[in-house]
Amino acid sequence: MWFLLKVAIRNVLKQRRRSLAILLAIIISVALMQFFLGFIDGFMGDFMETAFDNIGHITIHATGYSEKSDMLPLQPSIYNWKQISKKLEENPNIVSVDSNITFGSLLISDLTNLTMLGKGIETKRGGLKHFEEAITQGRFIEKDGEIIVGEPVAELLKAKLGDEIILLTNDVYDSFAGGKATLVGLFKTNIAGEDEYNMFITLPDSQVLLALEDSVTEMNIKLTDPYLSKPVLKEITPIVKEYGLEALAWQETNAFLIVMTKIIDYMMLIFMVIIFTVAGSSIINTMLTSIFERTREIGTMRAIGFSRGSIMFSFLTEALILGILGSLIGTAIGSAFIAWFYYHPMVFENVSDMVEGFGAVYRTGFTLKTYLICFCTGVGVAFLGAFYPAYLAVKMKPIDALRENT
Amino acid sequence: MKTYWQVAARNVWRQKRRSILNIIAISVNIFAIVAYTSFYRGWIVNSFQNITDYQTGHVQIHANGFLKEERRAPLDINIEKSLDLKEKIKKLPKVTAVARRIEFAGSVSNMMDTINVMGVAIEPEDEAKIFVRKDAIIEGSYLKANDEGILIGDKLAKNLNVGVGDYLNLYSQTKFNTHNLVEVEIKGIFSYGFDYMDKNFVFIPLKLADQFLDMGGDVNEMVISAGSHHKTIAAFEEINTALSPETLKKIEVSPWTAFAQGVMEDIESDSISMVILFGILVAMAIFGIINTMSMNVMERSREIGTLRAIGITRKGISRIFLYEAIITGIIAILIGWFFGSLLSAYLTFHGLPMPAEFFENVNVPVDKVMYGVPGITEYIGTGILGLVAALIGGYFPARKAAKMKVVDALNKI
Repeated sequence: MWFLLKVAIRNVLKQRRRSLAILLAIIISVALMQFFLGFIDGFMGDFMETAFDNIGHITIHATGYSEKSDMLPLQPSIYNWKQISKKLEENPNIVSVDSNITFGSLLISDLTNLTMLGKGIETKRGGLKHFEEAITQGRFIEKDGEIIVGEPVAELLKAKLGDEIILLTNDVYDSFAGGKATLVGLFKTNIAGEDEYNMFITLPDSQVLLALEDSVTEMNIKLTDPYLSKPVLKEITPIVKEYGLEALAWQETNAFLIVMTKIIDYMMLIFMVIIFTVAGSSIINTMLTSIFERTREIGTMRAIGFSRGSIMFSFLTEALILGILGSLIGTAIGSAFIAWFYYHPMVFENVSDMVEGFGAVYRTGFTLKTYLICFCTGVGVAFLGAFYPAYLAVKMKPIDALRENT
Repeated sequence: MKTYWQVAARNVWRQKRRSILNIIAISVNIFAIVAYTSFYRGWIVNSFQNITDYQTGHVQIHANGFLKEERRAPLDINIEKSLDLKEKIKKLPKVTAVARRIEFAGSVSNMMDTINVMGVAIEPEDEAKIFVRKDAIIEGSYLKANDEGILIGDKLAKNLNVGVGDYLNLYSQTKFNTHNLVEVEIKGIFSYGFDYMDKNFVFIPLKLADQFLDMGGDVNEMVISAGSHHKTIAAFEEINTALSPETLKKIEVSPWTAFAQGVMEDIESDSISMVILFGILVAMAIFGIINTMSMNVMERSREIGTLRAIGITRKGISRIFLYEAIITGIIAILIGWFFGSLLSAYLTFHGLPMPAEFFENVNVPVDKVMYGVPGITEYIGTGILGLVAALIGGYFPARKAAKMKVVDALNKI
């Protein structure tokens, strides 16, 4: 065994040109794959995070709300939200429960007014991470009487930090309601819809404004892992039923996420197949020549008593060594690209207008899964590519192999 | 000459395994490029057509400063003497239709629920010459200039639980920031098949909007059709030369591409990444050919020696190898074309249905089934690419074979 390994290593070194050819094919394809997957990971990561900030992993509404959700209704609402929140948080898989009120509103400053998507939020919860991270001026809201809006909104309203802005909306009784809030921060998430339409005030403020004392319209649950949504949904069913609510997992509320994931999975698969067909044919070809050149060698080895199995073993080991080495180098190069594009993201300002939830900034991401997929595929292709040539080699009869004289 | 080709062809045939693998490496690329290009062209053609047909027209005119504040749909940044301007532009030979509009932000209410909408006041007859409006009506009828009516999308109708003949309260602020409300009858319900329009847009006649918004005859937008989106630039340039410099100073003339920058940018970034991807893959295929063929040269050194010894020149030897590469390339191109065109034909005739959920979030109007649009360019392009790849792949081995000395070549084992 050890001897055969030595033979394999020596063969790798002896046929330097050829080994280099195989190595290059693996390196290029692994690095290429890594690079592409890195972008997809980064994109999907940002996209999912944004989506989860807005809808949670599980969303809870009062029964009947979601059919009308396009209208941003204030009724039906959830009354015992504090109690429910406490009960839900006892579940070990639930990280946080964010209660809020979503409402449509006019924002007025000077003579300009804008229709906005308002949210009254619990400030201490931190379920809106990507908005908090996107603050470019001032700070996130901390106490009642404060408001934050996107940069483009402030620009249109000609409002500066510290200015008072007027909110005008319909309260739960459908009568006009107005209030004032001080602008304490501006955000820029680079997602067109959010920067142009979202505004945040505190939950108590929104409850007073909308005459919705003691209730909220929505509760967003974040889990330790988004893919636990279905089992957790089952676990919290008794609580949900008890209070007459309906709970939906993100897979149901945002079907677009699932579609995106599927489209991207197919794309990845197609890319992988193309890349590795090209790499694979190159590897098989190189190995084939290498084996035909070594026919005499093989004949000799067989003649002095090596079994077919051990010859196969030495060839496959050779391929495996090249596969691992190539995949390692390919991964390293791919990582360098990923790192570069993580710190120097690409910006497509306008793509964000086109699809809701798509950002304008594209950076690469890193997931262990991608690394494993790329590495294993690289090694696998080298190994499989060697299989057919190795099979041809061991099939030869020693006598024929020795007679061959090219 | 002919013999060289024959020898080359025989060599390709003799080394079946090797040839097949080289052919696969090139033809996979060609196949993928042909199919992808056809599909992608379909997406572009479809979205360009729909964007101009549903949303933008071909050229738009606004007063200076309007576009910067478009988000608030300003009613105080208007086109001066819009009727005169309309008549003037209408007479230009490359312009097929002109319509004036008012974009405004408002809300509609069924007395129970209120929902914010994007309002567009239109001149019904002219509007229909530029956009698909009449044909999008699935219930009721299209607007007439004197109607006190409104057109709403099917999704909005469902949300408000209303139908044709029902009345809605339309609320907005006038040009002078006073609140105003008007009761309008739902004349028709349209469906474009994508939520962005079907949920958010309402249309009312310009005449009604003029009173309702207190516009005093002003409009904030003018849309122009050039007949087809391919003729946009011609019409755009004609308008720019026909109008006086004083007029041009006060307005912004924009081709529709200015309002579809998302799509434009998306196309650009997609194209760049595809060129990079296939660039690297083709390079890998070339590399594979060089590699296998140079080994072939080594293996065949005795053969080469013999050929040289019986009087074939260096040039002749290098030709044989080059021809081998070309033959491999041509076969690969044909196979790639064959399978590529199969998939492309499937996409063209059968189409690829897009999942319904896709349209909830996409703000660009694309059809529910995406069809491919094949073109001759991808076949010519991949043909050249395949041949170039084969030539580069064959060049180095051929040179190496030609350089061999007769004695050395014969001497080998």
